Amino acid sequence: MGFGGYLLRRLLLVVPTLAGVTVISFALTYLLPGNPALVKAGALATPDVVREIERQMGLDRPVPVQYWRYVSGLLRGDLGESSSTGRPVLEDFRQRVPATLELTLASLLVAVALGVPLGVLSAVRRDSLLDHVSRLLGVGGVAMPSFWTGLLLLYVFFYLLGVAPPPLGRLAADVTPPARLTGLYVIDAALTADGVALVSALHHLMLPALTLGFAVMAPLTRMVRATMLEILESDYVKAAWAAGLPRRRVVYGDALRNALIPVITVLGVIFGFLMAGNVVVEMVYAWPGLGHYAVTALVTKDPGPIQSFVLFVAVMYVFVNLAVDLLYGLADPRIRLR
Amino acid sequence: MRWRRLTGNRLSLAALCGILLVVAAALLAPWVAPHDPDETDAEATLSSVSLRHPLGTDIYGRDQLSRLIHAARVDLLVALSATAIALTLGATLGALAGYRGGWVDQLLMRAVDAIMAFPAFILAMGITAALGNSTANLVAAIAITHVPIYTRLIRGEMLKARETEYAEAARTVGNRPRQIVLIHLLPNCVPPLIVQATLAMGFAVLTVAALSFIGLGIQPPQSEWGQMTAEGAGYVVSGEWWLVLFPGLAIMATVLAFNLLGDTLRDVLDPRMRGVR
Amino acid sequence: MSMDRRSFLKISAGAAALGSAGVRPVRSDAQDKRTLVVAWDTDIDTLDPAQFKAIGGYVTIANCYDTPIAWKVQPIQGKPGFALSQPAQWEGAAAESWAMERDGATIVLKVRQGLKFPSGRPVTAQAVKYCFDRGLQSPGYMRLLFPSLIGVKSPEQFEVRDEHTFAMRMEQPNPMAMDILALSNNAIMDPDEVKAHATQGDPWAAEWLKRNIAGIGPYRLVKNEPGVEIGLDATKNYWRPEPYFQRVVLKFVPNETDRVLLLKRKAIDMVVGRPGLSPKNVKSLEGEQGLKVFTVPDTTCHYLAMNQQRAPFNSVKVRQAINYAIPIQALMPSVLFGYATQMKSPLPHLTPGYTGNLSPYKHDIEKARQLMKEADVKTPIPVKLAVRVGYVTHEQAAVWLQRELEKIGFKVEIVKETDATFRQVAIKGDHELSIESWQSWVNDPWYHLNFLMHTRSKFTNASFYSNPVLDKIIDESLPETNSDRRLGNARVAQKILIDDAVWGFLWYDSWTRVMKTDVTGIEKRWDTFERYYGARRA
Repeated sequence: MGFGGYLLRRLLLVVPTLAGVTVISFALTYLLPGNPALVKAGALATPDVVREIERQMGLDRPVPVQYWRYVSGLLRGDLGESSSTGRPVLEDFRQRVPATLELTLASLLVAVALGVPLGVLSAVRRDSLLDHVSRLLGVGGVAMPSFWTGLLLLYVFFYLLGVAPPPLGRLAADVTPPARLTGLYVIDAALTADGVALVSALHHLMLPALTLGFAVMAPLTRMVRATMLEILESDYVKAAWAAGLPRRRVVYGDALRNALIPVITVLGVIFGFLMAGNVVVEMVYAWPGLGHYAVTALVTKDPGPIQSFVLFVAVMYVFVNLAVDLLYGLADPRIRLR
Repeated sequence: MRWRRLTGNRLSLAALCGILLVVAAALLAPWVAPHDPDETDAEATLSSVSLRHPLGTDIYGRDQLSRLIHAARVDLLVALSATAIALTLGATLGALAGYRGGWVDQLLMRAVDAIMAFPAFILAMGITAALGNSTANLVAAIAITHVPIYTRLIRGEMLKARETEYAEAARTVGNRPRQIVLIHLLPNCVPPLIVQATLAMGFAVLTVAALSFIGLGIQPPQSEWGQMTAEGAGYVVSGEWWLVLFPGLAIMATVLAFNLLGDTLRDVLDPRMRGVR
Repeated sequence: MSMDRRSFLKISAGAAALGSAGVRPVRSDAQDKRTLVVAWDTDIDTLDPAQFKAIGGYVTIANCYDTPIAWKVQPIQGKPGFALSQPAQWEGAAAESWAMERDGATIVLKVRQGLKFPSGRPVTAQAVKYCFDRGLQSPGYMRLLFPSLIGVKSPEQFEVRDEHTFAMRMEQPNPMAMDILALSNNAIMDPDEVKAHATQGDPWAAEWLKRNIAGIGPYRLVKNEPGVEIGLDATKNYWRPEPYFQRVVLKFVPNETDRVLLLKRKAIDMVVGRPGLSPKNVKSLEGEQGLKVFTVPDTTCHYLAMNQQRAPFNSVKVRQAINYAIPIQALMPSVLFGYATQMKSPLPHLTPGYTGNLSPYKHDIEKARQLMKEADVKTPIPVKLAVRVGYVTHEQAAVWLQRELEKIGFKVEIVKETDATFRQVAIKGDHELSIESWQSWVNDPWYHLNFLMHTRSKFTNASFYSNPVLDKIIDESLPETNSDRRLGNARVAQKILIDDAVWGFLWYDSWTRVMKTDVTGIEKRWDTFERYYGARRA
């Protein structure tokens, strides 16, 4: 089968997955205890007001009808309404997705910048003290609850040392956001050469990205270490050494390049970790993104945002994994045959 | 030789000892804890580390060491039962899918795909929110999110094993399908399962902790490390450092131990799997 | 894009090197002094004055809309820079004056001369009538409050006499009427603006008013970014003296630890909300350099609801026993850190008619055991105690209660529920024990008891207390104008309720705010939500 056939088959697989995802996200909110109409009605509502709101929200209809309304709403871009912001969920999403995306990408960068060198060094000096320390660091990152590291970093860098900005969002109060191109402040500021905004955005991104990046780098380190070990033990590398090629060039040249290909596969997993980590880290740093929005919704049992958050993350995750699979299929033709 | 490799590595040895220590603390909690973990004491609220309270007391005057020890029970129990349920269910479904193939396989794998379409923590969050905060629901949520790992693993092994001459031979001799699966094929799958389960234990402890942080996990007054850390985190600013440090360390040490052990087990038992996940 | 990779790296490195001095906002110029930065953890749920539930919605409405009249605040002794509302003291707002007719059964409001909506249209008596009509007929609080409390049931009772004269005709005089008029729900809005956004299915434009302000007040809403911040700017050419703070920024900070750190670093001026800071953290900020704590007793009641539809809480002996088991001497210092007052009556201690010497209850486990024995119930009794997630003092009180209740034969399981679940379970009558809180916007004994104790108040009478004798007293006293009888009846009612041990009596919260030392002019009114136009920087 050629790559075209593989692509088609892989794309077709996405359809039933997405259908399953909508069923799960609907089921989750359908099962949510607490009557959303009651929440909407407030403390002094009378029973007839509650019934009126139930009717408006369609809560009195049979389950399949409610599901159908949900899915057809989704297709029209109607994600419901948030009871804590009083706005359509889609509008809230538009505002918050860039913040989450910016944090996610920055954390990914941190994870790669820390995880790859750590993994490589571990493999090159296997079973040395360095290997143990780096493995410990890699695994330790994942073992430390990120709300804990987050608060600790905030305490030290904001409160004690005063080098980090206050946890009040993505920019300093006196800085106007850069012109909106992507919604990612760092990128927008860089593109429009807005130095002040760029500095402020990076400054605010620093701690959250570090917290989150550190928390997710473990699988990356582990993967790099493992593939690197495999390659270093391969006949090819042994032959290269035997032929007298400089060790440094073998390790950091061909071996590293080959070791990085399978790393693509972990990126999907890391993305999942990042989406999960966002929830906690955004709470700690008052980062105005989706995770923070979702937790507020979970605590108030606000069905629209919960449903949409779960759905959004799942859809993103499906497509990231699709991209990972395709990239990997492109890089390593054997995979297509599976 | 394998055993030596496991114990020869000082790090894994330490991990193993750590796990044994936590398990022992959990099993013997009522006997080793110096105080009743729920005994409040209005006279001794928020007292620092002392001889009477080696890890200090919380806002209710409860002994933190005793709570930490009792919390080990909850954490290990949740993680262990979730892992056990996920493993049993996942492995059974995987075996079923792998052995029967056809529409059973298709159906099961689509369901697994749908579950795997969610990052595990997000799904666990949604499930606990939907089912309500109870220990049983927490176990269910973590178990559900872990099922696909084992299902895929076993199915893969089954597909491979089914094609082997060995299965073919067993069939021609007249063994019934179930016997083939149980007696001949499953043992091949055990090493990767052990590795996965060990790693999953660490992940489960962390999930419980993070869920408790956002108010969805184990509920006070039952003590649980994550919830103790989350609650204690608020006291960093007012100087009661012992409330966050010790439970945080307990989580870290335990998760670290399971992960390191899992890593080593993988290196030893199942070298093919290195680095995955 | 003209920047190459090298210059990008330079900027990034510069950012790191700049560190504190370059980037942290430095409040130095005069403009910044006139900005008040507040942290809280709420969004605007809706800007419809008839419907808001979140504090974000309420505070925004209270600062951006005038009401016809307002509660008047007075400076208090010994607390410079703070002012409180007083019983039966009001001041003009959108209405510059008021008068009583028919012995107070009709209230006549004189609309302020020269007051204009942002559209330029004048504020008239017609506009006032439109707003009351809307309140009475659109879904929301006023549709319930007007008829049940002051006997206003039809829009015909709202009458326009001339361009600037409006009258509200009640069936009979009512002592609560002025307080009801002072509620923020009676926001005065521009009828033409509202009508322009009404639709067939939404004749009162509730949908549009959710996100828009159609009236005039000391501040204008200039920014509403949910999850980030709300920005209020002072209204130009407004009838009140110009407020000191030209801008108020309300920052959404979801994590309490962050709010404490922000205060300690003086990166914000104040923390508000419910509660904004737990008593423990307030205590730890007391005496902190550059910060001050303002605390006054308040009317918010926290109580243990015992569902009287369920055994064994239908037994008065059991309820009394529970009251003797409440470890109030531990709760006051260890949960509330002194920022509260012990509850000795179902009425708030600041409410007229409150009688503090009727309650015999104190922590006495022996007495409690004795009562349990007399009640003749089979122990141990398994029971669930429900609290709401995020209510720190409730969660902590529950732990203390659990221990003590177990001493008298209960086996208590603490259940934490989100707001929505908690309310649903409560209304269905499925809570056994729960910790509830209530704050009466109108500081009146009968307003309070009507919602919390009357058999017909199904949604708010969380104990499902039902006593025909008391119901009759409430019905008679609600419209009672004779002050002696009104307060005398309150005493009778309290006696009945305390003897019946209707609640587990816990505490009244103090209204507590932590702010920078230079912030002054903080005002607290009966509804507990702050207005910022009186605030200043010293």
